[in-house]
Amino acid sequence: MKLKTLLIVFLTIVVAYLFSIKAFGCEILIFAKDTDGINGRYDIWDVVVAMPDGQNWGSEERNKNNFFILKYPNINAKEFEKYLVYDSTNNVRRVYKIDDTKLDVKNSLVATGTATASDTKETLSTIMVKKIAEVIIEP
Amino acid sequence: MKKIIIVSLLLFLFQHCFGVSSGTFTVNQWGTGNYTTLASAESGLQGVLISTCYIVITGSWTVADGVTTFAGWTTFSTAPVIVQTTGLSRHSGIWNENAYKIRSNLPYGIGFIVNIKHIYIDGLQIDLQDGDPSANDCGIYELYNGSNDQYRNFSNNYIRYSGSTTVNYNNRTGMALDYGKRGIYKIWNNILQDFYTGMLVVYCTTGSTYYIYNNTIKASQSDIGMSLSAQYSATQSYLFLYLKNNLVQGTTFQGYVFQTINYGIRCTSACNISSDATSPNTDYGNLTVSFLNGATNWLLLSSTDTVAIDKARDLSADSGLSFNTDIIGTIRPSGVAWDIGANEYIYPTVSATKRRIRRPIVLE
Repeated sequence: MKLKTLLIVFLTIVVAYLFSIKAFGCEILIFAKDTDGINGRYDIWDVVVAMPDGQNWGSEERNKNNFFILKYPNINAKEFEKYLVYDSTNNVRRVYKIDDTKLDVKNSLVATGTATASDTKETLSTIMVKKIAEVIIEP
Repeated sequence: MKKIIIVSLLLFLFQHCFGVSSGTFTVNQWGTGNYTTLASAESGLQGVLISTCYIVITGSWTVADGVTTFAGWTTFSTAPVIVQTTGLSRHSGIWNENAYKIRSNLPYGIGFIVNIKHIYIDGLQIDLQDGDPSANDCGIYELYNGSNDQYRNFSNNYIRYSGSTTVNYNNRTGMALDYGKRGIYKIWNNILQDFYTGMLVVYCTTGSTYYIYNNTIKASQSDIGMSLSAQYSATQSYLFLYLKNNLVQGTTFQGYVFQTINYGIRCTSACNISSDATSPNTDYGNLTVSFLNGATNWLLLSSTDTVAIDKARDLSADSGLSFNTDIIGTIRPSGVAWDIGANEYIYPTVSATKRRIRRPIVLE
């Protein structure tokens, strides 16, 4: 009887764990229009929002002329928080953008509007690049 | 005919070159609208407006939306951006987790940054939960540095701090306005709950005009209800302030703070309640309002209230800002006169059947 109870508890934990993995990933909405990107405007490859897996996007968000939807099954939406920063001093909408040259799925993303990338939390920092060049003062 | 073709062609080119976003667009959590977040709607619609752009938030909301910045738009006084909730997405004067809400739990969290010229925000809930007592947080924060004569309408919003930390200085604000540009601000029927400063007008030197009517500000820590400051000199202009029917309760520092240098504020005020003695209106200081339940932040007026119900000015024909409803759409007045604060108490109506006198039935 005790063994049966333990087994049920174990299975419950496993199921909960699997569900948590399922909810782990995210989908990011990328601005797809090429603009000048000044005066607070978004520019192409800016990440607009990051939402948990399974987001039911709206009609305009699914329009590939406006946005690309990139799915990251191995990255939590929270990991993108630091890349969604608005630089209010310079009125730059996003300090970081996606480096599209490092995006393996770029062709399918641009062609269809959606794609799934295999990047992880560890490789995310190589894909997201800072837009404003840092001033390096040499000694 | 030639003119029509030329105008149509120009409009077409204008729309395609500048991304004109006039019209009505919906934001719905369940994917049945144009957008699912306010941030994506703002990014998708950024552009030059030729008429009003309505961003209408619809449906129920089981999750909170993220923080939003409005910047990079070209708007006109005749073509503003209007962000509003409707139907299930709208709160009912009491915080509603099933209605639309913006939530930030990060330090330096700002629910809604305004950096465009003309915008109206109506019926939103904004919730800040930052646990860092030294970080600045704000519900609606103005960061506009474009040309003068901006218009701002903020109505029927419920903005609160619901975190657990207490701050000891002025770094947690419901609305922080005035960024050095001369504008017209109309702020009515809002509830601001548990901030260090409910409403902050930061050293106005430009000649801005503020109509601040029928707002409810409830505090629970060391706080200020409204801090209104201005400076006047040969090169600077006044702050023109119209302050009517506001209700400030629970402040332990000051309900109303007027900081002026060289008499920089030109203030017209009436019927502003404070729980301390700082009301600018005689007879309206040191008053305690009865809410439905102040402890649980049900900040609608209770039937037992004797100081706010039927004690306000009628603003339905006010020359600066006229309206005749409360935060939940109740027509003012419900009784003999308007009520002070964001809510208009509804007197119960006695139906004809209830009014009938029931005679006891005598069993023979």
